[in-house]
Amino acid sequence: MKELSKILWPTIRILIIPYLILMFLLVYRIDYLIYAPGGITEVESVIDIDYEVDDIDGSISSTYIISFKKPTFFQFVINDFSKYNEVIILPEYYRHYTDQENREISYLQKLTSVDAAVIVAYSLASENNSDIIFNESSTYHVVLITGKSEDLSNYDAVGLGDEFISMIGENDTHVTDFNDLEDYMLENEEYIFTFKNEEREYQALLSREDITNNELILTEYILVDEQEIYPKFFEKDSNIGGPSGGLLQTLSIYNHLIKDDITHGLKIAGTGTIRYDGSVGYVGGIKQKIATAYINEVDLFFIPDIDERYSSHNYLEALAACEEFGIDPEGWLIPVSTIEDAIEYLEGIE
Amino acid sequence: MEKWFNSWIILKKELGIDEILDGLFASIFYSLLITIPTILIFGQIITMYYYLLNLWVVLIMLVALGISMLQLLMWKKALLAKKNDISINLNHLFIKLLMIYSVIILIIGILFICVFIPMMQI
Repeated sequence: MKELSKILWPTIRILIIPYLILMFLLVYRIDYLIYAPGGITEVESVIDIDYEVDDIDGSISSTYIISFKKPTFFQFVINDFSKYNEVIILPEYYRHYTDQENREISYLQKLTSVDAAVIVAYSLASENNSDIIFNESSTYHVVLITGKSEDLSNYDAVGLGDEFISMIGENDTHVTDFNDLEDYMLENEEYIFTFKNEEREYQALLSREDITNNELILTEYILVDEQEIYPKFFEKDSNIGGPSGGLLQTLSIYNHLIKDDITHGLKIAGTGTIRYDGSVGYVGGIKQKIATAYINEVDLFFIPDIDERYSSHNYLEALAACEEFGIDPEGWLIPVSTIEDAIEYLEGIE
Repeated sequence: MEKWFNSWIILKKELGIDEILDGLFASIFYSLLITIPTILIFGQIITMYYYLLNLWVVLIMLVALGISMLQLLMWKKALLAKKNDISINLNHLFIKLLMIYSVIILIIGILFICVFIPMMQI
């Protein structure tokens, strides 16, 4: 060791300052959010439907992008060299989340999105295929913790994705409907909330301000009771999170439940969340998703259509991205408002 | 190959196992100083340019090969610094070792391109 150190010392002495600067650039993280192209994933490789249908010639894939919260200085700089990448200031409400919490949020969004896709696809397919069993008893409602601000009074006591069970409010009222919580709480008082996760049921003290100021965000979801449906579906482990694959997941599941193949041998991709009524919702990172689809040479790309209720529109963003990357959107970029629009479009292909 | 193993035995007799290992660990220590930022740089480039993943894997293989060469070069220098009249040809000794490293790096790289990356994209 001594001998080698003696030989290398002159070089080390010169390089030590640049080396430390480089290491600083590689480890110090800043409050930005970078979107970069990712890839496409065939939905059937993630969601397996236990039902025999004729061979499916084409493929239906969801598009994922890399969304990198709090990049290092180095990432921030190299991001500039790509025409596909985009950098924005990290929204305030994301800043306090750890990487683990971000992963939990993303996983939760994907999990609830898959259930929404199953609900919509099975409901639609059951209208055309009498084999499919899907009715009111096939679903149940849950209220989950989908966000918590850093000002939450008891931050570490509650976990993202945990289910709200009840609260003991004023006059020992047992409140199970999360919409009624505020009615049974007084200002500056703490109340016992009961939550449940995969391991246990637990209690946490929370104040009225936590609820009224949205320090704790509770969201109601409809999930699928797998015992009450036919055919069964199996969700495989996946590294990809978020809700934006909902539309394509719904299409793929639907295609696995009906007799005719609606893909017509095409490589289909797209993006868009799916709501329980079958409407398609807004997503982020459109430019990167268009780039990803373009790089992966998909035949057509579904995108949420213009929705007057919102100020920005995925379809317009996608058209701008197509122009920037030299893609002809005619017949390639397909705007849809509902899952039925997408199915109709595919059924209409000769 | 037998000649190569004999060279190691001769080296062991001339320098002793402790000195050889000391040179090895010193060279690994200094190559780690290069490897750590390299891993960070590649990790961060990959997250930004994920769609070029296969290209990055090929580049990582080349860089890993370069770092292996550097490590072996430093090991050789350390051994020569301990005893500059070693009777065996150290270049011959380390080129064979570099070939073994190269094969291992190549196998791992191909495994990533053909197996692990397609699996990760699910």
